[in-house]
Amino acid sequence: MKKIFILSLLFSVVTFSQTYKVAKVSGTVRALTNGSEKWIEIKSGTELSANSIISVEKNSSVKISSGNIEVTLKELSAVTISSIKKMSTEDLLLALAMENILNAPKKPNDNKSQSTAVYGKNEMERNPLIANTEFGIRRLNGAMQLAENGLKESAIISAKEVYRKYPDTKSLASYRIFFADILFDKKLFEEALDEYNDILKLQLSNEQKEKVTNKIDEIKRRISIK
Amino acid sequence: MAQNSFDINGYWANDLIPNARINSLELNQSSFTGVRDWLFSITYSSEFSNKSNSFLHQISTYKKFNYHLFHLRYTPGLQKEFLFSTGQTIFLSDSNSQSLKADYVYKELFGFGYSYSFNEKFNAGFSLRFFNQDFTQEVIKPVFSDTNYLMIETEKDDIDLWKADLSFAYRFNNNLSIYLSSINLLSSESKPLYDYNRNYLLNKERGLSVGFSLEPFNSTAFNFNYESDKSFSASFNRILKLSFGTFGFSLSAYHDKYQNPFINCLAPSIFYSSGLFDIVLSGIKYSEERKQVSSFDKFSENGIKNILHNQFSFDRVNLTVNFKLNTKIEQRIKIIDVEIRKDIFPALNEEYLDEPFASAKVVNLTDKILTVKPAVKIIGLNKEAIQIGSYQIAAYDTVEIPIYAFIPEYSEISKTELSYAEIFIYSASEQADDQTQKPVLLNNMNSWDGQVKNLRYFIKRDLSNSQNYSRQIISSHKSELDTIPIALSDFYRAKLIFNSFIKDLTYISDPRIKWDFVQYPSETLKLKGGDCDDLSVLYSALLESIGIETALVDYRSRNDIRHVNVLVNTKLSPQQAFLITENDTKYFIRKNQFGIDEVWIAIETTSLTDFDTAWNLGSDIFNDEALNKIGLLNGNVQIIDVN
Repeated sequence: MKKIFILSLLFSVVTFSQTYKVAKVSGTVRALTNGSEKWIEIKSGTELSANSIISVEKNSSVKISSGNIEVTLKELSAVTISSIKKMSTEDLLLALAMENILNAPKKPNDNKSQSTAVYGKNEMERNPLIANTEFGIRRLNGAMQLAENGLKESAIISAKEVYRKYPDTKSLASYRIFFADILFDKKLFEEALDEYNDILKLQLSNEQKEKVTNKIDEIKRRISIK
Repeated sequence: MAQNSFDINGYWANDLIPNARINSLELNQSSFTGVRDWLFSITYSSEFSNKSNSFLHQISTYKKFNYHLFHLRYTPGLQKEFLFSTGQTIFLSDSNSQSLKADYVYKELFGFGYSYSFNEKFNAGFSLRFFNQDFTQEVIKPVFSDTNYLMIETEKDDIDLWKADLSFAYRFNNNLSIYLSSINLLSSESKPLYDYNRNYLLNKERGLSVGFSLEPFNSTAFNFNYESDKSFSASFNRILKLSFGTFGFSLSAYHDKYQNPFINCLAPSIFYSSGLFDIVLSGIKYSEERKQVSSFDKFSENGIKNILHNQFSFDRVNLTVNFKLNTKIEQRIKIIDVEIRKDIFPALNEEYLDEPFASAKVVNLTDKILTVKPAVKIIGLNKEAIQIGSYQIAAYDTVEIPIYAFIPEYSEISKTELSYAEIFIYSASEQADDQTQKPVLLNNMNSWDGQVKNLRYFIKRDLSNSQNYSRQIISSHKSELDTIPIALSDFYRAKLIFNSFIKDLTYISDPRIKWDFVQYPSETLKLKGGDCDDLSVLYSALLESIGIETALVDYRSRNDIRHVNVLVNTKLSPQQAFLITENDTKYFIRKNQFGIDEVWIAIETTSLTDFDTAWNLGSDIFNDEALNKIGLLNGNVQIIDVN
């Protein structure tokens, strides 16, 4: 009985949280729902769970509503449904703090298992195969569109998650600058400065370089005034 | 008459230098608390009369048994002799004459004392002393015969006297103590043969003596004593503690109602005390010049109460040496209290080496910095006391030190029961300075303290059994695993093991609904079931035993019902994650200790269906609780790496 009780409680989190409904679909829009590995095409009126991923194909768009939030996603974008939510600046700061926890390296330990089994693989043995960067870019597009729909805080967190799961996308300067600018606009100067300094290490066009440098100078000026 | 409370070595506060006083039988037997084991004392005293008598004044010994103190004293020098002319003279035939004499000798021969310490504040004791009064008087007696004549005869009276007194001491704090003793409470005296001697017997008038010692500073004391016959004494003591011993100085002043002038005498004394012996050099200086010759009327009018200190006493100088023989180790550390902070869960053995299960408040009784080593023996768990850790304590400081328990790795405690922790504190020797015993709950081997981080002890305990089980599964799927890219090895092994062991298991809710009982992996396999912590422990142990890294996730968002599931490290890089799933909500990136990103997946072991379902469910829970509700930040969700 406890199993049923625990599981029902856990599911209730999903059940009683916001419901997301597909309001309008144009072209082809697919989704991965409930941990599924199979993409399904969605239609208007489909209800989606928070952990669903929605992906909008070329020349397509979708409008998703949840309560008083309405978001339109354009072509070649993907978002996790749970990221369609309004966040305050405080929520954003908390979420960024959690990003730091997630990005912290595991503490070394001196108490390793004494197993005689062969442990994992040497890093050199890893076969990276083909990095799935294309879907990562869709994810970044999705995050940008969240910002364009007014969900800027949520967009930042979505972008951070994309950078973690699709690390190759971190080299795409234009996206990086876009999200760093949001931090700047939200007056989160220290967070923005870290981001701009990191962006400077990428290969940038002259125009990008000038913009980032100007932003860094501006932040330093503002921080010094404080 | 004379005041009773008179010490040949001056009036010292016992708390300051306990061994300085030697005649505690007279003043306050109960207050003599400074002897630790054996003490032998000898005093040589010289009185500055014309005869310049010198005596071995006293030999005494003290012995302490726990809270009991015994004192035996032999005092050959404690005597006073008075020689008087009776006023009668015989003229002899050869024109010579002979005056008749009377001789009065008072002796205190030996004494016995006992005191008992009820607690740190209150002591009580009694004393028993034996006196002898030897009176001789020459008298003329006629002899009737053929020729009548007179002859001188000596009438001898030997009178014994026993005196018993009670005494009490109460210590309010480190600065103030008070004393109360009886004077001549009980006495028993043999009858004089000659009635005329009754007038010269030692005075046995009952009385009371009260006093206090005030120590405003650690090294200074003021003492005052008052007797019911309106005599009093006062003194000032000062000590100096040096590395090689303690020096002390005292000046006492005495007012005896029956002596002149008002302050009859002063008694200076100096003292040196080391670990093995004490030396006291003291003097008694009377204010008025004492005459060698005095009238018989004065003697017979006031009588004698104190053999040592009376109106006929002379200046003195005294030397006392105390020898200390300690068969016991000097207590340098004292335990004030012990607090048991947590019960003993034998399964969490290593935990007790990191976190103390108790704390002891101890005081350094010495004037030196001490290194102390606590040791503990838990009855039913340890065969002997185990020392763990050492701490330095400043002189006279009171500190709280942690007490760690050592739990043998292969303890077999089948039943939870109340046990006792014997706690010892060592400073220098092999003998503990102090020890105490406290009750502690000794849980059985399956008991768990509810902290998910401590489930790792259940995981690690029978890792070899888990390894055998996992290897059997892997072996039976060898051909299948051989076709899988090496990068996916951990993921598929984790999947195969889950799908193999889970099909035989049943979810069994812990009937106690309390986080207090966890099965070891082998027990869960044997019983074919368990609750979420049992199943998480089992799955984690099976993977860890073959080198697959795992972590436990503690979900604490619901106060009453907590939950545990398992994170598995696939060792894949984020770029390789698509090899196991297209759904990027089903994995999480964690950096290893070298800062390299690795793909982890959450598995809900209670799903008891198949790996994919358990993975989906685990992902949903982790996404909701840990990420969307920022549980990892607010502490509602905690990831605990097993290794």
